[in-house]
Amino acid sequence: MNRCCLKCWHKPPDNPCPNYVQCRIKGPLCHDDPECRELRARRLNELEFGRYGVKVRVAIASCTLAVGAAEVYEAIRDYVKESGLAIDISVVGCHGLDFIDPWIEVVRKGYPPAIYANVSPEEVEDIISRYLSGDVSKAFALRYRTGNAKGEFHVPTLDELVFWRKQVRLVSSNCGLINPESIEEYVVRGGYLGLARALRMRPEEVIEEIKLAKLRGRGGAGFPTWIKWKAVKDQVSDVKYVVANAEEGDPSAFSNRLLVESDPHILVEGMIIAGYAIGASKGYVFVGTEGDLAAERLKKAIEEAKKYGLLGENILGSGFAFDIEIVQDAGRYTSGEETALLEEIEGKRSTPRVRPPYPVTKGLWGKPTVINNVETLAHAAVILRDGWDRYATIGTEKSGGTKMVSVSGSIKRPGVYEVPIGTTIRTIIEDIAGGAPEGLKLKAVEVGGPAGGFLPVSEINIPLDYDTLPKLGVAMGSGVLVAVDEHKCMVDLARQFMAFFVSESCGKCVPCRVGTKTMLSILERISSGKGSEEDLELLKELGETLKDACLCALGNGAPIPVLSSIRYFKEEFSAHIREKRCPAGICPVSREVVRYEG
Amino acid sequence: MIGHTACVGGSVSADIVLNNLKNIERKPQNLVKALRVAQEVKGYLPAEVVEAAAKHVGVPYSRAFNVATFYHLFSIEPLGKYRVFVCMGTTCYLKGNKENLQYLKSLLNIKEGQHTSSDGLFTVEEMRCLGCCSHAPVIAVYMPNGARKVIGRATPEVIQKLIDELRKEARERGWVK
Repeated sequence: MNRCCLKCWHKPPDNPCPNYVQCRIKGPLCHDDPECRELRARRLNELEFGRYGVKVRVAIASCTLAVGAAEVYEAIRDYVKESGLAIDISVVGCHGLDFIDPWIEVVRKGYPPAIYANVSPEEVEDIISRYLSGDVSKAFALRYRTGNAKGEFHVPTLDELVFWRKQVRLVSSNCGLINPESIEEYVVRGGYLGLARALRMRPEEVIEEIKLAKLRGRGGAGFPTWIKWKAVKDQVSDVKYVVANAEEGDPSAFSNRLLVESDPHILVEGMIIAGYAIGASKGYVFVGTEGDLAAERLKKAIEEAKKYGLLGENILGSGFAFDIEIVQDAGRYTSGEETALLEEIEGKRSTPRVRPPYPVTKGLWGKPTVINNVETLAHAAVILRDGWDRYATIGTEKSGGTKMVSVSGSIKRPGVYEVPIGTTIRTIIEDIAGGAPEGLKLKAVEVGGPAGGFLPVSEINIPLDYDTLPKLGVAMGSGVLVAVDEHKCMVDLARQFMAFFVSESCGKCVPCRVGTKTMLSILERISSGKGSEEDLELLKELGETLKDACLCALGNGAPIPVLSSIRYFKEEFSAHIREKRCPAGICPVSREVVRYEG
Repeated sequence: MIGHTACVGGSVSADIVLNNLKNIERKPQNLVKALRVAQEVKGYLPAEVVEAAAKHVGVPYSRAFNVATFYHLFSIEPLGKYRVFVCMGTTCYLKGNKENLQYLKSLLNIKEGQHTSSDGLFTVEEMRCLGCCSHAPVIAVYMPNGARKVIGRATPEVIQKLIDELRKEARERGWVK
């Protein structure tokens, strides 16, 4: 993927081609050569269908690996080797349809690309040989139909399936489709076009574009991205930084992980655009402890982008230079907090800083710093590629675009789904994710991660956006939705959350360090049948104190699961307090429990 | 260094740890990175190793100790050959990892308040979230060679099979009889 032919005179970094990305898709552009055109067309075909016209895509991501994708990959490799078939095997990321893990896709020119679900190593041979004989009847879904394969009209296309049709896949459009380690596959699908366009604009025009697109931070707070960018751009400083927060600390949040593992280049592109807009020349990606695969793929993406002149000196001939470094967390919930992660990048304990000064004026090493969630940066790349006008038509009046949500718990189709902002929680839980599994009934949905809160099922008819949810005492947070069925106890869950915060509190500020511990001991008292009515009042009072007085958003959010549980499931607390009974039979109310006073 | 474990056991000496630190640039911001490498190579962070990492990146021992005792990945006490993490994220908790944790601890005969089995093979820890919530409940094993294995849809049967396999491997390598 360097020069297309001998007639091309461009070569990064000294003489890069400003139209490099467009050239890869429609090229050659700087010269006319039928042979070169033919070569390019052949290469595009090869990327789609492999060198021999048949390709098997195997989804390798943390989610699929947890249920045996490595074994499936080996089985395919062995089968292809033993049978001597001319087939390419390609690694791809994950669609987010986790209920079909591990999955594979077989493509052949002129035939429908077929996705197979819940594949075991033993089935591999049968799947591939049947597909090659023109029979797709055992497939889970097809990308499109061609009308010439056996059984294809009995298999739905992805667009016919509700959990695909109701999604709007902007930032996740490449996930599960391209090889995350191939910059070429990213580029031919329009990757780095956003960067190419941004570099032809002035930085303030890039920020204006983000403003008009109504992009708000996807990490949790929903702060308008353009304000942050402009604040840093307006600072006078020799050095500025872009930090991408890929430390997805919230339990049950996995959309960032999926995005970075499946399409690392979209993050790289978003970071370079942010760097250009604010005048920074250095970026850091902060990856979580469990993000080994994400870090590995990002590292490859950064290396490749440098090799092709999309990162480093004189990007696409614009004179703009940018570099990206990866830092990996050593494991702590607070590390995902924006100022705490700056501390960790500086090699210290990840404890939050006192604000003001805010990172936009004094961030990393005291320099102006933009900290964005990885999904926010990916959206920036999409906005610059498609233009704000197209982007802003999706979403709500105050907040444009889409959000990737992680759905798990008592649910038929767990996974990551990208939906327009403002989609109701009910649509996501019931239509897309299929509701509760057979025989179970949902009681509550945890919205937005631990600091988000619980909503009863009767209340989920509300739109998922940054403005409506806080009115109901919950928050959009990191886009987590956990379905809780009737057999679970809300008191037990509230207690478990508080135990989580107690063990994860960094200890820097008193309200969080002492408050969470006190709240936990009260919740333990209630769950062991020794609580009183006053305890509920005490929990509320303490909770409000934490919301007001903690040093960071994680501490502010710590009481929300408890407060929202008391607000919506008071009868369960009452059962524990008055009747000394746990309706779900989980809490040790009637049993003698050992309590640790401390 | 009062209260900090001196280097005991293990086949890896502080020299080898030092050797592995060579690739890390000598600047204070690389402290976490250096400790990470040391933890991986040595298996835990005894005083000598923390000191070596501190010297390498140019910070006082006290600051390195401060960082080494903060993050979950680091341990200043010796750990088992296999580090087994039981995810206690919301979904895993809801889907049965509380029971799995109890089962695992009783299977390995690890008492309340303890983490490592008496044969020194397994350390069981709770983990925040592995990001594989769709396949909850999830457990992860950090292998002695640094590899990580994540196991979804964990049940007592799955856990027993895993422990049997790891024990077999440990016997074959001569770590236990």
